[in-house]
Amino acid sequence: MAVGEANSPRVSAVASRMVGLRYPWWRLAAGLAVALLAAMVAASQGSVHIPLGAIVEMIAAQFPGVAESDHPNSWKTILWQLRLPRVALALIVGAGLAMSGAAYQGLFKNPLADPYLVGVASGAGLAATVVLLTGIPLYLAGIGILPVAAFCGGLASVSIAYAVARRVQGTPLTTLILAGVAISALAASVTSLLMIRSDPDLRPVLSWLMGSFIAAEWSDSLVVLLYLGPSVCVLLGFARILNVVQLSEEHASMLGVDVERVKIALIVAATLATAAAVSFSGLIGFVGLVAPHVVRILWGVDYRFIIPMSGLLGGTFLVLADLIARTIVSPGELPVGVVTAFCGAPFFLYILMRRRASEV
Amino acid sequence: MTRVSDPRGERRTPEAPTPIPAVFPVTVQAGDGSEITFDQPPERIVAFDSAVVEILFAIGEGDRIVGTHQYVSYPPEVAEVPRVGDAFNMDIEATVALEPDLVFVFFDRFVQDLERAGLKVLYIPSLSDDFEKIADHVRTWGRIVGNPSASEVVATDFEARVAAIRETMEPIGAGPTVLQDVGGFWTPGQGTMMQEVFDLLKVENVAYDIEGYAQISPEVIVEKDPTIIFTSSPESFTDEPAFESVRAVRHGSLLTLNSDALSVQGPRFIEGVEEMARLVYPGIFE
Repeated sequence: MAVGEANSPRVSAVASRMVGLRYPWWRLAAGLAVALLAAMVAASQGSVHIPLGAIVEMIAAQFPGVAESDHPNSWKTILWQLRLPRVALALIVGAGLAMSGAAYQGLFKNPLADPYLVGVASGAGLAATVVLLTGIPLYLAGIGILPVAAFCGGLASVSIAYAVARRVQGTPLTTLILAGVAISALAASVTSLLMIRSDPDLRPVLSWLMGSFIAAEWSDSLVVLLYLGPSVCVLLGFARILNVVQLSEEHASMLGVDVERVKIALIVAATLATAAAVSFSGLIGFVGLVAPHVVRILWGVDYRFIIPMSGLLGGTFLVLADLIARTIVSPGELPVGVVTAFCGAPFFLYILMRRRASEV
Repeated sequence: MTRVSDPRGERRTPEAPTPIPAVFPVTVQAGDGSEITFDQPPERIVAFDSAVVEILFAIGEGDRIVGTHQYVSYPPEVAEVPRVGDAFNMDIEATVALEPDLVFVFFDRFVQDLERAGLKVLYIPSLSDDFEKIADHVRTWGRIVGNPSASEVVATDFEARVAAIRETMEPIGAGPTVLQDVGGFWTPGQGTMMQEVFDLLKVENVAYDIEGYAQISPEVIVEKDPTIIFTSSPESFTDEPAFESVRAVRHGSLLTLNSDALSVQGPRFIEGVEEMARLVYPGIFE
């Protein structure tokens, strides 16, 4: 888009929706409340039935002055070591994927952008498949190798895409997307090759590739947060500039924005957040793509709001999706990625239809 | 116990109590219900199945095998047999080039292609229940290759070993609670061959409520509190604080099966059952 178009009807419509509106803090507060409510509902349900009263008592017992409740030890283990770590990890991963997706959609100005756009997913998937199928020990000195490998694989494939796309005077985003697509295709085909050339049970690989929180631990959430925290600060810090970049890169440069620096910062932040998220959960689709769209469709175009609200929505959605994944075929489990697509796609179609109806 | 597998794959008739004459023609019912007739024993067999390869070697007829697939690894002498595909794909040209007079497949995807290439095809799906039928499969192959005496010995040995376990188990009441993790919490439940093995060994499978194979909820593992866990990666239980309270973890009963015998529906399957029996009841099965 050229600078001259800045006065076009679309741009002025965008501008008028952005300025003159007060930041909707109350919506974020409501979103946070809904996320916490979803987390509590998820903690109260599982393949082993624990009465809600017992859950409340066990959680209350953590606060000083409340007497230790008298419940079976297995209930305490299930709540504190299995259910809550899962809920926490789902919340964090969902938030990370959705915020990265929102940032990518803004940066690339591409509605199809999701956190996996430039190759994180396929790189992580390839590394995980190599670990699971080639007999590399899953643990080394007590450290799980799978998340480390997935994280490195994800970073490696984005780095290659970036190195390929980089030019002296900047990084054309279209070239970056195309390089990402090519590297994704390459990594995905190597993954398929490994799978088709291996006889051992493919189920663990397939369930990793479809995402699962089955092995979630508190420490996983902590590690993901270590990457997610700084990344979120960067994404939120650049949200205002993302609003300007929506008009045009030239426009942004004229306002004194170092567009190249913004690009690098956003790509690095979103990539780190996504790689950390997928390394513990596997590849969960749809959250990062859909959550930002829903926020944008329902509540407008301001990235200062879209990014945090997408995080809350994505986290809530993934907590509920994991709840379904671990209860619907109890005592078995489904990969959570199956649930996110199965429930997310119809919901997204509904939102799209509603928007069309309101526009007519 | 009679050992009949021949390390060099040479054709050799194991000593049978009473020799059984080979009778031709032999008619075998294929997986699609059709009947396949053999007027004489096939000499060049492409056996696209681990179980059939193990059966043929066990009855001393392994040298009839001229081709198999990538992942057949037992017995060791099968290493020299040419490969004509992996678990999902079959190289029809390479199969034709081997000039087989019988191609055995355990799935039907390539049956039409093979028949169009003018090959004689026998398709029988892998056993998915009732592992004692393995003995019948052994007998069927004995008839096909004209060595029913040898197959009778192997089949009878298999049945006798199953019966011996059943007899030893007779006075034993309810056994321990077990979980079998085949990777990433994937677990056999009802309607699997492993459940039949669990039933034979009178162990209670914590995944009994699961149909077929599924990922079991870790919550159920904690609640059902198995005393024995079969897994190839014990760390996935010992490194997870949630499982600290599980009896199998506390007592160090995270057991790894040494062989892959239980994954192939051949004569060796009973060895896998016996290994599991020894691990579950160390004092009773020697």
